[in-house]
Amino acid sequence: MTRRAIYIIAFILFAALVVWPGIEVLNICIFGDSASASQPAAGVLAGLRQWTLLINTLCLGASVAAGATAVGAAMAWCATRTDLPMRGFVSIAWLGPLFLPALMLGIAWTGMVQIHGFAAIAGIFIFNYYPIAAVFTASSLARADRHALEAAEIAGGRRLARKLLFRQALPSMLAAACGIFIFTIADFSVPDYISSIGPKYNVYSDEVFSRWQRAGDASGAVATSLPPLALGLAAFAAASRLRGRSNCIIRGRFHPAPPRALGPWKIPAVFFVWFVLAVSFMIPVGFFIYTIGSPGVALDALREARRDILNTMIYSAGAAVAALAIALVIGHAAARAGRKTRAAIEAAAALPFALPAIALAIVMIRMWNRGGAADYVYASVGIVIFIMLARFYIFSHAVVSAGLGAVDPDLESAAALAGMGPARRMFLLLPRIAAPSLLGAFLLVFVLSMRELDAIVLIPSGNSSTMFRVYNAIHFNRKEFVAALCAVHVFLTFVPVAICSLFARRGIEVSL
Amino acid sequence: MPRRTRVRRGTQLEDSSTNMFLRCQIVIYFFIACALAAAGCSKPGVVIYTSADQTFAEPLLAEFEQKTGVVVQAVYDIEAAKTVGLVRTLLEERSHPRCDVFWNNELIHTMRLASAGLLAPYASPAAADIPAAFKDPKSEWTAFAARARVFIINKDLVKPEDYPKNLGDLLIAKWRGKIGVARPLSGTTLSHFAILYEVLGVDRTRDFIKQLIANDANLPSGNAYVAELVAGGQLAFGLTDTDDYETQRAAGKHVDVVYPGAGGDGTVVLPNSVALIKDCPHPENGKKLIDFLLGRDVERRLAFSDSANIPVRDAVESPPHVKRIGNITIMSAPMPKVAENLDARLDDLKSFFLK
Repeated sequence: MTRRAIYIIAFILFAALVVWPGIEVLNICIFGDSASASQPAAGVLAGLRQWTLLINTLCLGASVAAGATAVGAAMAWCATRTDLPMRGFVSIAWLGPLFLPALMLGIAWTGMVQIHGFAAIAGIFIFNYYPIAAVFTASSLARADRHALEAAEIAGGRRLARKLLFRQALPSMLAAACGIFIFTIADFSVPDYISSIGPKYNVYSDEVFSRWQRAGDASGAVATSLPPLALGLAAFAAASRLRGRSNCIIRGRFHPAPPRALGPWKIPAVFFVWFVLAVSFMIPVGFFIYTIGSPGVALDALREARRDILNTMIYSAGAAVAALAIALVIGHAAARAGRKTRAAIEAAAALPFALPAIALAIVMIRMWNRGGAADYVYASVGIVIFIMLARFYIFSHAVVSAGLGAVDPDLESAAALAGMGPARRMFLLLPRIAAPSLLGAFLLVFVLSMRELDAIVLIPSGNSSTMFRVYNAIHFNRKEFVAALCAVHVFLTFVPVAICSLFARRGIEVSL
Repeated sequence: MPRRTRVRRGTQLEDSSTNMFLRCQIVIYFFIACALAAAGCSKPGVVIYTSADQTFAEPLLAEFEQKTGVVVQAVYDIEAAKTVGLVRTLLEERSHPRCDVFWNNELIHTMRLASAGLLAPYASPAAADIPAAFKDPKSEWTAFAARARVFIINKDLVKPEDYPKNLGDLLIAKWRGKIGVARPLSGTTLSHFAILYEVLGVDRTRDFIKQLIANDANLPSGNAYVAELVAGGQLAFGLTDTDDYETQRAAGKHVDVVYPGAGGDGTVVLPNSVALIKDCPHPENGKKLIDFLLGRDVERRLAFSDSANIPVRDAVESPPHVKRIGNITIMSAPMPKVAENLDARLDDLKSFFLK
């Protein structure tokens, strides 16, 4: 197979499975939807209610982005720049909330205390998404150069050194904040669940759901997703620019800066770090284990929901593999292409991610619910794999293209001269060289797919999944069952990552 | 130390990453094999869409699988949209139906599907002893195992003489902020309010809603939450379904129940309904499943379950805490008209409850 044929096939798959849903959104908004009593997009967006939704969505997104970034940056600073006890453990433990979906964190905390309204929704998101900011900031702070900091300290004291560190970390922090903002405004399940009791906090993603499910207005639902899509794309563009800046800090010989003594701040810092770890992961998981009561309950839950658990693992792994296969070729093309081409590919890949997940699901239903051959996808787990692939492809792409970008092109030329064909170079040579990145991309998409509820909540085939089951069972007062399912889900999300970490001799790379 | 890299015979490149790469491949192939195996195993013999609570429906469907050997693929509703979501999916799939049987835990939406021409007639022999009032004249649906809209009362907060008797008691100033009704945008509460529009008239219903909101009624998203808030003592009483009341009663909570409107307008009773989908892919298995669901045993088991459904057949046994259908004063409503006007009523309700 020639290099061109490989690229053509990959780009067709990329266009059909990742880009097309985004285009379909615009198609429905502009030309309407023949299958429903459609309103023109302009009519939908002109209502006064839109302002309330926009303000609510912006408030939530901005508060969570600011809060999670502040918590994550503080955690990162404590773990990388100070002599905090057990800081090595802390910098692994803060990944815990990523294995615990935000909805489950909400279930745990509403099960323990009466929390409702905006503050509760924002709090749940902040403690669930802060690891993104922590990881970004920590990677930036770890690049702090000892000599540069010493020079700053001599010139302007500790204050200037801190300022230098802050400036160095700022682009990463802001990039993380943009990512957190996108995740937050796209989420439907947490605002819906936390608003189950008390005043309803309406956001765009909830409105999209409502218009589709309750009013049966597909084009209205899709049109309602345009403002959050615009916000998401703007945040993505900002994150991409900031990511580029944070990557150009180190010059010349690098000497890592030693951690600073916390002194009298040690106890407050230890308290803060362990408080965050406890609130975001340890207490919720402990609550689930406590609620389960006996191992028998967990085994019963496993028996009852085994089909759902298996399905969840299948579509998450399926989406991760599919995303990896496409990202290997497209990511390679992006890594070897110019800045503008790279940016265009990234923007196209980001489109489905920036959409509220519910809107993506509606578009996918429209695309695959056509009968005939498409029914094989619509009626099977295939559609769930395709939705996850479209939604999270951008992560696989970013990690793989960063990994392949670091591979010397001369190595490929040498392999070609030695007689290795394009297909073997693409699918054997490059994966071996960039294996840590590929593994990182696989695990990232796997974990994100395991966490996802919104994208599958409308799809009949997504009905048999752990997240769906949990979402429904919480309404039936089955606290032990829900707790057991949540604990099993967290465990099953964590296990593949743990196994890969143990066996990956060269480690796992997730450079975004 | 430089990494050992060797190119052999122009095709094979070995380095320290080879083993790692092979391990990764093994893990990924394992996942793919699992996916293919699972995909190959899942060939449904009948597809059912049901808004019945998964907890109660699942064991019944598993029993049907065991008895008949027909593999059932069940699609459940989501609590955020309830039956409306499944109806939406059925309408979406009307040109190429995937679903064979629709088991709805309320009737109004089933009637809407019948009017839309989505249902196929099937007079199940198992429904021979179900009263005619619970069957469609054209045999497009059959109702069974009802729920009623009742008041759940916290016995610690409300004295027996203060128990609410009809919906007007939700407007008493004494109970301001201590009463609860689920937001009537989906589920049985939507059906209940849609019935009120036809029974009381549009103006009186709108006045009732305005006064309800003015009386600071707690408006959670579902009936289960109303029951939970009353049982937990945050509310004195609220409007809910019999199954949600039963969940709290069975959990030992200090709650009581009142069937509203005895001697007056009556209680809203919402039976389950089951229907065969027109042009469905597995009609014979669908009919078998309908026969099973309409059997006396299923209705009896639903009565004895935590769902505490009210049997519509006198001959079906029920536990003492489940009221017999003959002992309930049922609110008389023009159900076909309720179904016909549902969309307009929902739009009106949104103007009050979705701001």
